Amino acid sequence: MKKLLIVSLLFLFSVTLVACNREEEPEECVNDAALGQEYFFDQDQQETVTITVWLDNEEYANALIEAFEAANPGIRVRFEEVGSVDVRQRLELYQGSSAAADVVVFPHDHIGAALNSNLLHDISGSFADDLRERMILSATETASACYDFDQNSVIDCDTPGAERSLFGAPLSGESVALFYNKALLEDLTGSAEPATSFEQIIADFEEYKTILEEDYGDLMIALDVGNAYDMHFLATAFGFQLFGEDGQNPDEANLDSDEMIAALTYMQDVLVPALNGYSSGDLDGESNRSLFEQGKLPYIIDGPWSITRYVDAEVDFGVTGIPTIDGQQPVTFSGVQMAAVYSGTNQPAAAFRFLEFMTSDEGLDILYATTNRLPALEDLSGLEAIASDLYLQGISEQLNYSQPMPIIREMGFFWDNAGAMYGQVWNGTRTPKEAAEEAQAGFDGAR
Amino acid sequence: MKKFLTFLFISAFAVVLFATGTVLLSAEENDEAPTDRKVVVHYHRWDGDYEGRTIWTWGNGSNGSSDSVSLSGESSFGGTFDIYVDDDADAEAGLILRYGEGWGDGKNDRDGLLDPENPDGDTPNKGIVLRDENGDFVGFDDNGVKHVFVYEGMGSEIIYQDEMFGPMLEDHGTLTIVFYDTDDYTETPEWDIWTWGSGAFVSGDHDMGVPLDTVLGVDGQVADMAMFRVAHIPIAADADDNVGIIFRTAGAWGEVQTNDLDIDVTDIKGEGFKTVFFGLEQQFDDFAQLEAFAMPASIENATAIDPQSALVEFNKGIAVREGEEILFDASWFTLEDKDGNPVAIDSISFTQGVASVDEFMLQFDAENSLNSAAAPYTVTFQSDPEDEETRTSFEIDINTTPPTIRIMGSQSVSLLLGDSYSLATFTATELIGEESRPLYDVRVKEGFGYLSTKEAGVYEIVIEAIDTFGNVAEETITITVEDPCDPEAHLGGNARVQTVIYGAISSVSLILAGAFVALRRNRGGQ
Repeated sequence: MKKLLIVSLLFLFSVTLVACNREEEPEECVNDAALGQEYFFDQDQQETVTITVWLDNEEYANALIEAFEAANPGIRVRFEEVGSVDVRQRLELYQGSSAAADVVVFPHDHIGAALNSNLLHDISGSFADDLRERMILSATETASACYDFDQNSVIDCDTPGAERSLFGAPLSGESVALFYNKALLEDLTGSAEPATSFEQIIADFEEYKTILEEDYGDLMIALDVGNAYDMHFLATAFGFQLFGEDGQNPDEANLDSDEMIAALTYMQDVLVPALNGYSSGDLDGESNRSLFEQGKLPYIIDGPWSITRYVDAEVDFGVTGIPTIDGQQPVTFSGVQMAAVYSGTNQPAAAFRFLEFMTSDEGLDILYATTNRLPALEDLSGLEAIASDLYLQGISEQLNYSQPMPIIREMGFFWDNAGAMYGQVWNGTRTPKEAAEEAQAGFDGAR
Repeated sequence: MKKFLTFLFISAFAVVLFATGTVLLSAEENDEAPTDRKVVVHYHRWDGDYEGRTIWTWGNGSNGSSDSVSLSGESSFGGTFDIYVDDDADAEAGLILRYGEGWGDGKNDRDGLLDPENPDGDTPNKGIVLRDENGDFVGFDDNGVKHVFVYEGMGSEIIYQDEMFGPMLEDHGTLTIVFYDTDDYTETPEWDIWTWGSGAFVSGDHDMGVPLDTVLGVDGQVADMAMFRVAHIPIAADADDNVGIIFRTAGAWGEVQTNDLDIDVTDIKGEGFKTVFFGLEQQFDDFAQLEAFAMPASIENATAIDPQSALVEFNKGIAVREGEEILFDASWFTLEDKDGNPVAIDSISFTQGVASVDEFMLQFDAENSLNSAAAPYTVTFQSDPEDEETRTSFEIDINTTPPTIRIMGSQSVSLLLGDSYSLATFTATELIGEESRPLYDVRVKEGFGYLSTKEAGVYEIVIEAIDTFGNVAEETITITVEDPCDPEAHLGGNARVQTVIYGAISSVSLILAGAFVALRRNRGGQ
């Protein structure tokens, strides 16, 4: 009996132990299975396509792609950092392979060679119309060509049936403009407003020469005389046309034209004395920028690349269009970055959607915010941030009186020959006619 | 008599006037001789072609030469250009050796090597020293002439005649030795030449060698990559017919030296100029041969970019066009699989509009696409079928490494019934050659994407990535959905059974243990 009691006691103890455990659970747990969900991640995932873009600025690319992918969840964008000047050659090498980009950005003067290598997809329909309407006219014209899509070659637009197609979307532009020191002008002339003509600048120089020399430097305006890019405005004010009317005829460099000789004559007779007879060697770009930076120069012809420098130097300055010469509005060279879709893309729809986004107001806002580049828009008022950037507004003002640098191969032979020509005339070592003829001969010899 | 004297005086005056006028007129008309002092630039080109070459100069003073100067003649060294130097010249005159009259892009219009600090910039200018530190003109002889020498392919340096081992020393011929070290000077950076029989001051039994102190390269090369060295050995009139030379490490009899080499100098004893070319001990007829020896084209790398393209990279540019003439021929390239079977190349792309390129993309159609089963492939380049020296090959492997999947977040997740869940972000990369690049073909594997938070259980979501060559990688995210009211519910039916059995066994064991203890006590009590 005693045994039976012990066994019963132990059994009861163990049962009680188990029972105690079970009793606590219902008091604490809540089963929310009814609120649960079923997920089918393999079936619900978005079908995506991937495109590759070659851009030259990582910060810009990341911001642009993030915004684009958020708005276009079906498109993934792979970014590779490729310098814009290397894009065309790299695409020629990679075309046909999976490593080729779908969307690229390159300088406008590469567009001719890119078309000859059949690298660019044409832009058509309402997107093309939109670009032509919003972007700087001369830029969209530069990105247009008559093209035989059967032969994959550029053809003369006079060919019967030939139509101009757009191959690039102008993205950003730059040009030299007139930078002026507001505080200095106010002190000198009583007005911070810049001159609107070279005649006025020269007259002011004559009138305030003494004060200028005593308190500042002895220059009213500085020009980088040996730099044919900067000096192009002077030639165009006298009607000079580089490579003909459309900038595409290598037989019409026109360096020895009457218009160029007239410009050189004006330079020698009027501008040299107005710049106190400084030699071209003294008037190099860096020396000029240094003077303006120090607040010793009322005017300088310069480009957007110098804005940060002058802001950092706390110069109280403004930017506006190049003043007229004898009533003529000078035309400057502009450089335009073009975005384009690769002709061999396997994802044209996605690539064009990305291109559209790049050139949308949102995309251009991102461009400005991340790179401080000036969008190639005819009217910048739609972009709030840029509308308040008076410096870039000034560049934009001149950009509307600019011509994209010619894109033909012979452009490479223009720079040094023209630069030497300006320098020789400025220094008086050649007459305008001699220098012009020598430059033309040098250009012809280099071709 | 008086009339005669007057006539003589007037005549003399007229003659003097005329002569003075002539001199003045000559000075005005002769733009090339405004001063008596001049620098003669001797320029040696390996092709010997000086027609149309010009130099561009500055800093030579008010009436000194400026801007473009044409070829004035040829010396035994090469083409010569006269630069006139005025009293108010700078301490250094600028010099650009131009290929012609005009300007190009800063590289294709002038001779020289690129600046390693700015290889994309213009070919740097050269400078000719005119004055010493005291401002005195330096290096001009009694006639006001100074000679300087430049070889095609030099950096911004200038060779001066007054240097001890300069070329064309007075009463000596010049033996110029262009030398290439097959180790690219990496192992033995300094070389000189031990020489005998030249009859000049460098002959004799002393330790001083002739330095290989002039450095030059080839067109478009960056200055610090220049691979050729030049030495000048003066050859006296009484030199032996053959001059002996040994290339050795500089200044002493070091570890590296060549055997004795003989050079015939009978044609330059006492005057004249002669150039010989050596790649270590091997002698070449001209600079082009030495350059081809020093820098043969070879494939440095070849990478399969995808099944239908392979990038082939060379150590130097391969000439693909000359002016308007296309030199490139697709037959230069062939491809074989691992068994030696030829693989047809559909097309070859490369950068257009340039004379030479160092990268080519081989492309294949779908039928001949590259795959790992047939790898490794061998790509061969041979620009001249008659010349085996132009043949170079490289093996192309096909990547078989699976892509790498990266999951942002834990791969082991615990949820309770009723919870909501967002799938972790995932990315993948693949290897192309040795380069890792983002892979966007990464997604939830079909049939492995189900999760329910309505039912306890263990769920596996499988992420799958497939790379360009079809290599597959998988990663799993394990999600455990627990029932807070049943800690074992997620373990599934079988697990419950095992738990009950385990519990029953535990209870029986306890009872048996108690019984055993009771029995022992009972026995003890008896």
